[in-house]
Amino acid sequence: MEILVGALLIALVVIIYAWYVVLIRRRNRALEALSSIDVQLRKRHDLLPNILKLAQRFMTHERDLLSKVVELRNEARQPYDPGSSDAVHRHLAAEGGLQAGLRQLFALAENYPELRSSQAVLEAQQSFAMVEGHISAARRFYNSAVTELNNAVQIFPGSFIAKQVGVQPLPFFEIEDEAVRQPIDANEFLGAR
Amino acid sequence: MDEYDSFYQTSILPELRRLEKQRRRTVQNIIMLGALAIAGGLAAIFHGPLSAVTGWDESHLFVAAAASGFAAAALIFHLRSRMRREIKWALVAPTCRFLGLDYSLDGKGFPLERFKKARILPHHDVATLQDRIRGKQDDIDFELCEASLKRRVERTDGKGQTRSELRTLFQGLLLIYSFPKAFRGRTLVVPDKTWLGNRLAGLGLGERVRLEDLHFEKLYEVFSNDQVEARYLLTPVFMERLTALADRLGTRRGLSFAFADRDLLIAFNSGATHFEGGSLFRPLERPERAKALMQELTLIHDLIDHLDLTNRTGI
Repeated sequence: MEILVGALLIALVVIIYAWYVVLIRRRNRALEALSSIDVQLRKRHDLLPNILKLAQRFMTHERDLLSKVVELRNEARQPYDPGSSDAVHRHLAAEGGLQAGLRQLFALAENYPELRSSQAVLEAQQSFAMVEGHISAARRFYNSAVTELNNAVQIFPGSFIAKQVGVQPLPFFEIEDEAVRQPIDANEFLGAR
Repeated sequence: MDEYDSFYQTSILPELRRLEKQRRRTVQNIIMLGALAIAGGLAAIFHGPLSAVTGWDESHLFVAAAASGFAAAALIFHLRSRMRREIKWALVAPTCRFLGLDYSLDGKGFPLERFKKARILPHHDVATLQDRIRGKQDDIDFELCEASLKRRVERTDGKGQTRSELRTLFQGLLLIYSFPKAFRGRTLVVPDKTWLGNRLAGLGLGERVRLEDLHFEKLYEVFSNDQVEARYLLTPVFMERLTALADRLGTRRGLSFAFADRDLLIAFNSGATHFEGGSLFRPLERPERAKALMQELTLIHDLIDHLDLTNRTGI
């Protein structure tokens, strides 16, 4: 009888440990994916000053929108704690806001033929299209990793173990605005290939 | 197509007409040699009773019958290959030239090593390459070759005798297209082989990439050394294009893809030969030959359009 109880206890410890390992692995995976998003977003942030400079030259009547994009960029660049679900949520929401602002900017650029035909703008939009493609890919990787993490964290007994070791579910990187769901294709807006 | 018709009439048909006489002679010779090969084979099998009837030495009779059978078979093979080569030079080569494609009969210089390195081909001992075609459409460079890959297998019969034979593992096309997106890593898309098969086949191929497209996931397994880049290359739209391509080509397990060194490598195991220019036993002047060949060659351009490889927006 004692042997049986002992064996059951050992089996229980092994199961709990295995679950713990899965939780930590999935959390690390999600954090790795979050970090890969940040790498790609940084590329977008680095491209923005150049694009804004070009836009300022031609889009003189859109100063409010340009200021708004700068503000959104500054907001999105704020440091955050990747371990905190709320902080990650705020960070991703700020990036979503920046993406929406940029989409609006490119939509308005349609009205400025000089901007559309500038060589510098054409080059900038090519780089931008590539960066947006990478951001979209990083977002898909992150959401896939978050799905696996959240399943492990929210389903019993994972929920119990996660609480004990302080592993939290992470928010998805979603784009709320339907129009913003598509990756920004600068070529489409600026009418060139 | 009208332009090709006129090119066919003026540049291809006269040569095919000239070859037609040679084809008839070759077919006659093949039939005669075929009869000789069968007779030799039968004589070798029934050398005992034949020796009793004719009174010839049994072992001499066997050797003579078997040798004549083999010689006839070898001659048939030689004549058939020579005639096929002639037909290809008369039909396939000028048609490729007309389409602006660079054609060579053998596969010399085709980078088979790239496919091996990408690990989208089965392990093989013998590789035969032919019909190397190169060209460019818009900014997309492409190159393809027909490949037959065989593995040597040992087989033991009921008497315990072991024989070595070649088993065909891959028969189809190897295609290389320059890919419009820049990438650094390596991503492979191989046919799904069930849970255990995927784990065994995936050893050393990189990390498994789980994608959102359920239909695509059912058909293929993706491995990559860069999770983000794999998704950058395999966008939802591109995954749909790949599955639609598999449907169009009528193969679910015969397509493998590799993104390597800025190119898209495609291994299409069709199980059929390509760019043959039709049967040896039918008249060469039949226009169906040229039509069938054109259809095969248009597939190369169709693939570019179907996969939308010229689209530089990255979607």
